[in-house]
Amino acid sequence: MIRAFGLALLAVWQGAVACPPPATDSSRLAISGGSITEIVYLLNESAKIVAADRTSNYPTAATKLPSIGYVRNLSAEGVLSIEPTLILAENDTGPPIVLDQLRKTGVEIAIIPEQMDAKGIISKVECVASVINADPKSTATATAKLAQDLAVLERLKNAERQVETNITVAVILGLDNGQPTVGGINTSANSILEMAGATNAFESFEGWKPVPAESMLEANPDIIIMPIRSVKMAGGLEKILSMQAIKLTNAAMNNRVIAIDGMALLGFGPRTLGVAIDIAKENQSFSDSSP
Amino acid sequence: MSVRLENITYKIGAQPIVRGASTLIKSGHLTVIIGPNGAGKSTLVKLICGEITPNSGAIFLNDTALSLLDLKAQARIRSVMTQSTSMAFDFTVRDILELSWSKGSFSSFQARMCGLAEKNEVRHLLYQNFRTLSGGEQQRVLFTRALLQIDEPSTSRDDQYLFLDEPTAHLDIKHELHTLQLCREYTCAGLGVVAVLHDLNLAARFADQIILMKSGEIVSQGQTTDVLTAKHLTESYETPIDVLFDAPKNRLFIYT
Amino acid sequence: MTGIDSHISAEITTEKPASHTFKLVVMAFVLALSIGFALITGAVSIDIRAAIHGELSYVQNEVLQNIRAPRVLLAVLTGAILGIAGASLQGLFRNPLADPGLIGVSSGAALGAIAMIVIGEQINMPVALRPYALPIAAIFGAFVVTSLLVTLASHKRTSSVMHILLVGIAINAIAGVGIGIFQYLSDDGQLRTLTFWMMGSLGRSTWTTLIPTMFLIVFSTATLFKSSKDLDIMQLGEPQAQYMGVEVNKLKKKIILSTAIGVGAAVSITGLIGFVGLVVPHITRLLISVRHTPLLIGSGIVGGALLAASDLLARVLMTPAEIPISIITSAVGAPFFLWLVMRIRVQ
Repeated sequence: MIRAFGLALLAVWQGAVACPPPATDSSRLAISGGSITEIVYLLNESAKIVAADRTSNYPTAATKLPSIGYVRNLSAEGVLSIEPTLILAENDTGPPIVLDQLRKTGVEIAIIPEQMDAKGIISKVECVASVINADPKSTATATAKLAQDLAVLERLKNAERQVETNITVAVILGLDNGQPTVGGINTSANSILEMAGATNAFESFEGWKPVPAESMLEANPDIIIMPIRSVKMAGGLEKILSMQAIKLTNAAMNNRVIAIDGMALLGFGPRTLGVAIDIAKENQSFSDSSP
Repeated sequence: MSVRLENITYKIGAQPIVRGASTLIKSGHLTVIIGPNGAGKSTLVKLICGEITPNSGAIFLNDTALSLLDLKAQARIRSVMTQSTSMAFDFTVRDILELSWSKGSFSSFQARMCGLAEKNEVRHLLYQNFRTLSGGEQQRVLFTRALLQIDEPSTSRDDQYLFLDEPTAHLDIKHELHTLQLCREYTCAGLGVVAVLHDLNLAARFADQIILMKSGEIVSQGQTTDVLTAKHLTESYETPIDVLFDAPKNRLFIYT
Repeated sequence: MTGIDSHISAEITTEKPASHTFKLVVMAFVLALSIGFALITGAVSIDIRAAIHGELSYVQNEVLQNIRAPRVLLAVLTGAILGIAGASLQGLFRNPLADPGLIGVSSGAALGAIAMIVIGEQINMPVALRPYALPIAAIFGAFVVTSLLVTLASHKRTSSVMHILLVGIAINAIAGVGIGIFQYLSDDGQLRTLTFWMMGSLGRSTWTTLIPTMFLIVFSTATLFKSSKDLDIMQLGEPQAQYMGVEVNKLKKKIILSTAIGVGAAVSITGLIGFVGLVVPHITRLLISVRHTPLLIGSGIVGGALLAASDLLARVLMTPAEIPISIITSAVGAPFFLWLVMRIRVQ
């Protein structure tokens, strides 16, 4: 609730409730937000990108781009030194002061609205395409593929609904000294689980919260999903499976602790649809195999 | 002019540290406070100098109640030399002496400063880091600083005082005598000097007035010869002490 | 006059107090250089000659006047007040390891900031006030926490330094709890905003927020300067300072509170920047003087120059991205701090 209000406020501040109009000049793009970078590559318009932020790490080619900082903490002069004609930004780009300074110098900023569901992803792609005047053929190809994915996802979800299961999924962002930080409702984690038709094991709280081992065991998720980076930082899958909070859960005992690329999982870019499908399939296979 | 105490009592909690102390300290005199450890000597000095407030009784500096004088006014009337403190930073001796300058021409202050530094044999240390000095040297510096805080005394001026708490603790004999000799000169010129001393013979030699304390009370005060008697001393210090009159030197000699 | 004191001739080997002035002028020159370099260097290249002749493009002008200039000015002001506050607190507490953090300024400002970040979205704020919301909350937080410390630490007539330091530790811990609670309540967007705020950055400077901050910093600086002589006298110890006419308790309150206002104002925009308040006074003591009048002036100049130079490095070393400023101040400050501690042990 609060987050939605906050986002709305932010959007009003930044005047981006709707998709911005097509840009006057999209020949030199600076991108703030990994999901947007992904989209531009998907649309075959990556040649236009001159710089991207630190969260833009897919595809690999994007990591070689000059960096303008972190999506929420851009550097005004840094962005200007690249001489972009257009800044494409995820809706949580900041800080607001820097965006103001950039606007005052005449740089066009297009804030792409965010909606964390399947349709939202497709709208995001369509919006970016219209803003940067992407080639209609590439756009059509991209949206067609995504529409296909959406269809697959819908089918899987329908199938899931037929079978009543109590399968729950938990998304763990990190394991600080063995204590998991879990996504409750009103998080990107919850959104992707909803997208995949899965049930969040932790619906009793909002936001990302640290959860004690006991509560973890109480909730007993059947599937645990973690960003790959968090798995590495926690010491690897083996180590995680041996942690108190994890090892006695259904997920650990059935070997259903899954690592997925963080941006693909929670970034709500094109890959996220694919991830939702994977999760839906995982969900189904679990219910198929359980008695 | 004088410093007058009327029935001063000071307690910490229920424990009285100073009880019913009344005395008259006159300018132009060297008053020495003696007594065993814990007698309340330092506390008495702190009370007169305003660092702590008595629970009852009144203190008057030159006939003005102490409570009516703000700190700066008090600082103009009386200067205090305390035990050496540890400096946190590398102040030079000169830096410290200059802290006593508050009014008037700086160059005449500097002239006075150099003169007094010379007299106390610390002139050659002016640019040295205070922290590197020996205990004795530090004490002489602090004594000089205290002297600089009061105006240059003259026989026409009799309203200033100098308080010294164990000013000779780290000094060798030569400097001990030198310091007290200098105090004498100042009293002759009108200054009132109050010194807390451990050494009874020094007290005997230099004091005009003596205040003998024990257990928070003033057990005897007045002329040196009246106070420094074997009976008083033995009772107060709880150990046999004898007093002789040394005729050639015309002073009392105290021994155990 | 009987001349007891003055009959010795006084040849004064002057240490030339004028030498302080000379050194300060040199430092001021270094500051000017620092500012100059900081203004002409940055991710966007700006040619000096073009700047002087007024031949800059619109973007370059915009960058110079509305992005770099307020940023460099903020760096100088922040560095200056941190240095001056650090020197004042070290003198007041007679402790070479004192810095503004001790009296709760940083944790108070952080507490105010996070409270605003988390709750702010629910307050109906007039649009005109919005850019000031976070800085005001931070200053308010710094002031409240510091005042609490001053009140708690004032016992009857005197408050010992040890007492103040202990109360400071307790207050910092309590503020930390407050911050932790808000962190827990915040969503991850807010959390990341706070993390960046706490990391410290000079990139949030705009003329609108800078002008009021500047007034507060100048006010605070003036108050602290006036206490220079008293700070010198305090070096002899609190009892002796009182004997020499210094109202010690009033001085403590005055210095602690003006420090809170000045540092709080700066930190409210920049977030927390470490080591400057601790290290700059020592550099100044070594280069210029131990006496508080030249020390405070010098600390202001050295602090300003240092932070402007550090910010320059922050902007230039990993262009077009920026290195968080605290990393640079720590990289310089931490080894220096270690050296300081070793030096104290030797004595």
